[in-house]
Amino acid sequence: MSTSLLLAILVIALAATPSAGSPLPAADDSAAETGSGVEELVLANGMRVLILERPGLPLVAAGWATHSGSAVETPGKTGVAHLIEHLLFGGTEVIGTTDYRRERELIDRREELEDARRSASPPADVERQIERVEERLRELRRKGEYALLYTEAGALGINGVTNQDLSYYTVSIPPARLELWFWLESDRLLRPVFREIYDELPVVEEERGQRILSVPGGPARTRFDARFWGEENVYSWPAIGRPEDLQSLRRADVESFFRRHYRADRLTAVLIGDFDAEQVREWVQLYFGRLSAGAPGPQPDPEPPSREAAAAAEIEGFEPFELREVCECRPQVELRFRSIPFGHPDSPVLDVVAGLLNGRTGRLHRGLVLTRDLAFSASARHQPQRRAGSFSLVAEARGGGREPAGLDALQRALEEELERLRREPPDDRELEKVKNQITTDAARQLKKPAGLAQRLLIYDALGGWRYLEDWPRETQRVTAADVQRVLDTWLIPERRAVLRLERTAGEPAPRTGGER
Amino acid sequence: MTSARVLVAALSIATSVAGASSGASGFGEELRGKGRIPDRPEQLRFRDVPFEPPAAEALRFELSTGVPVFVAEDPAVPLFSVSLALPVGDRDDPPDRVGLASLTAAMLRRGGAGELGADRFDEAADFLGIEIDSLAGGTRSGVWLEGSPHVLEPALDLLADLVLEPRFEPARVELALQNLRGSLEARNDDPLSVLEREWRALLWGRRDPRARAVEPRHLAAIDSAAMSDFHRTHWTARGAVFAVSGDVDSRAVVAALERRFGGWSAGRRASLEGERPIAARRAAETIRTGATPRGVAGRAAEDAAGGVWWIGHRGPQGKLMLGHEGYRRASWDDPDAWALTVLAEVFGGPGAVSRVRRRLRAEESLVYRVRASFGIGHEAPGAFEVFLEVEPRGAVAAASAAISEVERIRDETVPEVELELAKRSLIDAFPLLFESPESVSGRFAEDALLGRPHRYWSIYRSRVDAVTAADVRRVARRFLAPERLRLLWVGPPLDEKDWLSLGLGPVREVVLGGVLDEEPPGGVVESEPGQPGREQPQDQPVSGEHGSPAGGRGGHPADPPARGGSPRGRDQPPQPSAASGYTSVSG
Repeated sequence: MSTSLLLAILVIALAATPSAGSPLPAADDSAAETGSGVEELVLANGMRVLILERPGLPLVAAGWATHSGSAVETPGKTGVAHLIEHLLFGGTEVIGTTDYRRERELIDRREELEDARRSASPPADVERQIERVEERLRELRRKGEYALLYTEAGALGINGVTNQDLSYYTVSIPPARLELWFWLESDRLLRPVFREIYDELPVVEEERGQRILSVPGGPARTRFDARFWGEENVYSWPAIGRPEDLQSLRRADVESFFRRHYRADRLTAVLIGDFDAEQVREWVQLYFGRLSAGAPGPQPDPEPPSREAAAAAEIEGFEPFELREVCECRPQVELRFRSIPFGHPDSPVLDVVAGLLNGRTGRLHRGLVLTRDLAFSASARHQPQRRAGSFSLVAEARGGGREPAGLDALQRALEEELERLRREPPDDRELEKVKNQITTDAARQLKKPAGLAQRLLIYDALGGWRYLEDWPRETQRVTAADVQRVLDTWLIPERRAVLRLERTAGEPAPRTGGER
Repeated sequence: MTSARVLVAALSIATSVAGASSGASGFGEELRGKGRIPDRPEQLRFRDVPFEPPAAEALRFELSTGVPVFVAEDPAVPLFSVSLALPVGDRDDPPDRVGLASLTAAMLRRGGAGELGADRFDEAADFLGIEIDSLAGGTRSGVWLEGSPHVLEPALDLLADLVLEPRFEPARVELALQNLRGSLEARNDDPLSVLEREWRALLWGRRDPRARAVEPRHLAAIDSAAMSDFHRTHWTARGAVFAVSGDVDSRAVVAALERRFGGWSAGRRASLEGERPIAARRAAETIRTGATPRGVAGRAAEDAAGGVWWIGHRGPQGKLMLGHEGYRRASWDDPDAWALTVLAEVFGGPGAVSRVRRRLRAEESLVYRVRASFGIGHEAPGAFEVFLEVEPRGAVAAASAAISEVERIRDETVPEVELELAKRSLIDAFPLLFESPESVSGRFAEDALLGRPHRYWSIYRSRVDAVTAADVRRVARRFLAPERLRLLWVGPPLDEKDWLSLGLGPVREVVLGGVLDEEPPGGVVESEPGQPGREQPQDQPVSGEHGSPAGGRGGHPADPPARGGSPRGRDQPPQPSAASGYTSVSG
């Protein structure tokens, strides 16, 4: 029974918890299994499908991911991963069109005109011709049909997300209509039509405005990210792409990226909810079994030889730097270290390190906010990604009408807390506190089906969905000696990047100047 | 084949441009064999699964004081949650101490309780690994607790201390006030928060309890003693309700609550009328007289007139709000309210139809985000609002398109296919109101809090289904008023002529005050108090998605933000965040 299986992973975690409260429920038979109740199917074409039954839910949380995000883009063509994610909502050879055959001819014609438009000597009337073709294309489109079919079926939360390592597509659909999900999703993987490339680019530009330019400190952080990873690194550009690259994207770029990165062996799907698992397995074969495994040849995104070696190489080559910027935000300092990719054995330890630093009773809040009264807030974050990771500490200066603490003092205080963690390692109670919190967090992850579906997709794209099961167990094993060791390995004071943001004195910042 | 599938086809054709006639092909009736994939999704055959909401009575318990406790058991995940909600909120703020209700609620959790000073309370809560928090919204306050089942008892001890014996430690109060002052300095940084704040002022008048903003002078009058007083007066058992869910045993958890809250008195929070600010009292009068929100009592005609207001803000994008006041339901079975529910779904609902979303996102690609709602309050009107995130060059055109949709739904009867689809969307989404144990207990607890009969849920679908196109037309003509539309733009200045072309009325710039101004900023939008202001328009669950017992309108004023971390600042496994992930919500 899936519910008791879900309990099983927690039982292990709880074994480490203290005397507080009533004794733990005795582990039942299922506790012998160490699973989360997730069933994994692997199709002949290489696609992985994860299934978890949860009786009684009014919606099935469904989704799939490709294990490729902006990091696999070619320099000069950045933004294509995210653009495809948008375009995949535009339909297929069946959905979103009234006559695909006629549309196909016009799409090709539109592309020829785009060639002409971008040529050294564009014909005088090329814009008018484009206008005419687009008008005819619009007449053939059934705009929004994909979403309409879902919403008509009572589905909710139709969404796509792209980051540097993956794109995922999720929706919640009533159990009775689940086959519609299989139909629509396998259809858009099988025969998508990227019919709105040139219409969608301005929408992406809007989104860039909203997500980067309109956020206080957004452009500064984007520049910091770029420098932190270094020009050669695939994480140096934002997932949304560089604006100059976006404008140069063409149909061929989109189609070639799709062919390479949306093949079956790059995909994971997940279903959580109240359904007949036997029926679902049948649909998985029927619908996703028809996807192609992709052309033979090298994996588009091969695994590094070893995560440990990769991480060590990363940190060796890292050049420390300091970036000073202004923004309309609180004065703040960030210390950021190169750390480890997802799946590295030190990952649970760095989670515990972040746990020791964070929270109301964590060392940063206690030290910088309560005791020293320097900061408005202070927190740490361990962010492992597919190829590399980072660990950062951020403090925002106090305000409240008083002289804000200087950034020097703030930076020093962050460095001192890190140093203090080395000098005064956590005692048993402090470690236990963090582990108890992780226990609750682990249960919380399982609670909401849509959230759990996302997590499974993300973990699988980053390196393996079993992290869901391993994480609570492995963090319980972390010792004070482990903490000391990872501090000395990854959080070396001299090897950090510093971002210092000063508040602008109300001057309007340049609109988009320097943004990249 | 259900009629709805035909409707989709018809609607797709109706809403796309000419030449779409071949779209209905493939809507065949032929049966498909096992293991065959039909050519079009419309050929899939679905069984219908009836849904009935759980019976509230079976989940209802009561403490000896009469405080209701709703419990929804669910052993699927080893977690429990307990929420306590009270009918106390920002509306109870004294006019010279705006923010007192919110700060009091926030400091319950942050200022120590029972025998534990603030540090020790924090330590105890963190050691148990629980989430426990308290906050206030416009009309409610509450406390929310979540943890592993094996710490239920010690966690409830902390909860009871927090509610019954808070200490409001002065040093922590001072820290919170400082943080809040810091937030006030930064309050104009984010265009979205500027828009939300100033829109409420524009809609309700700056002194209305729904629109009042905390000012430094208010904070100067708030201290630990003021919070203790407020807590003593307002945090009584009167009107309180518990919602419990998760891996618990109903009787055991109710007994555990009884042991701790059995002696909690209803106190003397009787004289609400005497203590409420004037505006809220007027609201109470409005409620008694049952006046409709149109031509709101006590408000000069010109105050309700339309117009364009703008606030200069740097940045490549602008935020735009358009709307006017909404509706106050006459009862929990009010025909106008049902018709407005359907109207809102057609106009801008989250479901299949949403005319504004289709028009603005799909057809014109002008905006990244569009959201529309028609607020139906039960003690005071909500607001009719269209929110747009848009590039400045597209702003006027987008606003114009939205206005024309307002006119269209008033002037033209909604076609039957569209109406049916909107109703279907609402009816299909109904089970989601009860999607988790937390939302089940929270939904019923909210009934108790609002005085909404549980029966509301058993009539909901049939009432929605009974709404006709004529009903929608009637309420559209009565409650949507293009001439009273107000527009607020936060973004780069645009040509006044363009704004004037919308025909909404005069164009006015709102100048935000200085960073630490003692006077309310933006004097231009000042209007008379007197707008009823007692109920948030949204039907928020008592507990639910956000774990917020109060359904308040924001985070904790007293809290540091958790940028770059999880809400509690602790590390979570990696996941895409707003900073690293880019989303596209289909439209």
